[in-house]
Amino acid sequence: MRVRLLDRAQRMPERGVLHTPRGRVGLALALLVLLGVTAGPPLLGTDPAAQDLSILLTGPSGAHPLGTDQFGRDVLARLLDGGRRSLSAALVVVSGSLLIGLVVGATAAALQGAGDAVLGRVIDLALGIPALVAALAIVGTLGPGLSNLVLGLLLTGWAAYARIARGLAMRGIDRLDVLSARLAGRSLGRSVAAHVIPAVAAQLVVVATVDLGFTVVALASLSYLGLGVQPPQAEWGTMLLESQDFFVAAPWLLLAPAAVIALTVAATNLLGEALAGPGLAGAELAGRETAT
Amino acid sequence: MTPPLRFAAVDVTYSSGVRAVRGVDLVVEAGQCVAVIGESGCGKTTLARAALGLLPGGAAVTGSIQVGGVEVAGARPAVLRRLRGRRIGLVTQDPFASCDPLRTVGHHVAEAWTAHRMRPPPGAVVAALDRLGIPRAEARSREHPHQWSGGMLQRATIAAASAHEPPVLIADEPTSALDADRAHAILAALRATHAGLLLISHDLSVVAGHADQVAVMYAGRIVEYGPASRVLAAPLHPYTAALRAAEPRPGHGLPEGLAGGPPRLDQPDAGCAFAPRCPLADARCRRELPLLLSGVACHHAVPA
Repeated sequence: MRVRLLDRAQRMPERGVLHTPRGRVGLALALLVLLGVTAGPPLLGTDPAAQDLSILLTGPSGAHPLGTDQFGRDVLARLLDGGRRSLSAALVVVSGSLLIGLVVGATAAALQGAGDAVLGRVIDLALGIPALVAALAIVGTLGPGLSNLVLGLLLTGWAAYARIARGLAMRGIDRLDVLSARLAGRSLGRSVAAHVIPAVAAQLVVVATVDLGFTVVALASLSYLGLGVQPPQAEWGTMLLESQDFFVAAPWLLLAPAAVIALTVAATNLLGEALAGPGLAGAELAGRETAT
Repeated sequence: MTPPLRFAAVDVTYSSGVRAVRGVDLVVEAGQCVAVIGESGCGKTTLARAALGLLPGGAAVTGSIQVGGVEVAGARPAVLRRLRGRRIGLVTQDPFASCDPLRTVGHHVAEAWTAHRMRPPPGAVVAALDRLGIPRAEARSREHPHQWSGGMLQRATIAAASAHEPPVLIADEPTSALDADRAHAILAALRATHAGLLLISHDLSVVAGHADQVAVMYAGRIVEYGPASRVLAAPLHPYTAALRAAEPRPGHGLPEGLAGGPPRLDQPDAGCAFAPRCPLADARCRRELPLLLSGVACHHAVPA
């Protein structure tokens, strides 16, 4: 009886992320960033690529709230426009990793035996390669650019999800409701798809929320090295790269993208921890950090 | 007529070397309720799992297990899938554990069809719940398992298991997770599906009230078999007598427990497995395995 209640408690989501302070702050920050990059550019109406050589490296003002850069371009416009690239790329990496990881992990758990052993080693192999090194290798081979960067991060990013999905799915397969699905005549594979994968996916989404922040940082780091979005297009990491020559004269060029990256990471961390609930957040984060 | 479920000389040996079921012959006739009783580890759940083709990998089954005339011992997964839900169904101990907490109760009942890649006929899910006495079945089928009581949810799992009217249902301790007063209603619901029933239980009052035939298992063997009224009222095997004596009865003081524990099942048979705990045991019992003759496997029993 106690086991059943515990199991149900674990699988029933906490009632509302909004009931915890970190959940509320996280959600507010996430909405702020999301709203900024979606509604910001049309509202602002400033072309992020428009150069005005009469206002090079001017500080924050009424016309340019975050100042201008070395080509006289509006920093706020570039920040919001660049955020679209940064965030959508991170979203593609995380959701792609989640999907691949879910399929590979659940397949390994359902195959059991030799199939599981083989897939398990593949997962270990991918986990063993540092994410940034793999991404560097892909970009080095295929050339710089955002899509190659995304591919490079996907190459290892799925493995952490696969490992978690495999563990959760293995436990899930032994559940009685999966057994009763099989006894109704479902094959093992279809029983897993119907009853194990939805529950596992829900838990992976929690991990993915936190992972989104890490991925934004990873993308920015690689873009900072000049491997991602190429000028004149804006992206947070690229903006950091461009700002470093003018750091003393125009610190807002560095501070603006750095602050918005920090804000995004804080939002995803708080939201992820609130979603995971007490006790879970630490474990998930620890697992993810060693994998990255 | 082919019986819906027949075990013939069934032996099950797990990969660990444990021979959990030994030479079991048992038949469930159409519409009949056969109860298998015995203490934990006597092999009754292994027997049920063998019939459903659900033994863990590495378990070896010898002899023959036929579901509606189809051999399931060593059958391919596709053969088993066709039988499950249509020719044989299972009702488990804990209805909450057997329902996916993320899905509605109606979804669970509908799985009887969707599992076989069929769409449930319109109204069939609600009708199945309604037949088992679920009030407002239409509305309640849209609720999730945690919104149901244990007794009602167990009736829903019976509705799911009996949706295709399989000729035999296996019920593995179907009432032990429920309040005692629900037990008889659940058993009545199981009997009302008109299916042959293999009832795995250690609740003698449930067995006495609902089973037609009783098989008493000890150390993987059936040691006594016969009509429920006879076996429970006048047991012939000393183990059955001990089981009855261990049943609590109000006003009779503490029940007499049976000294010692069940034997290790990774050893070959050497005489009667019950001999070390048996008050009647003599040298012959320790040497010679008693055979199931006239419903009892004991050297000392005098068949009625």
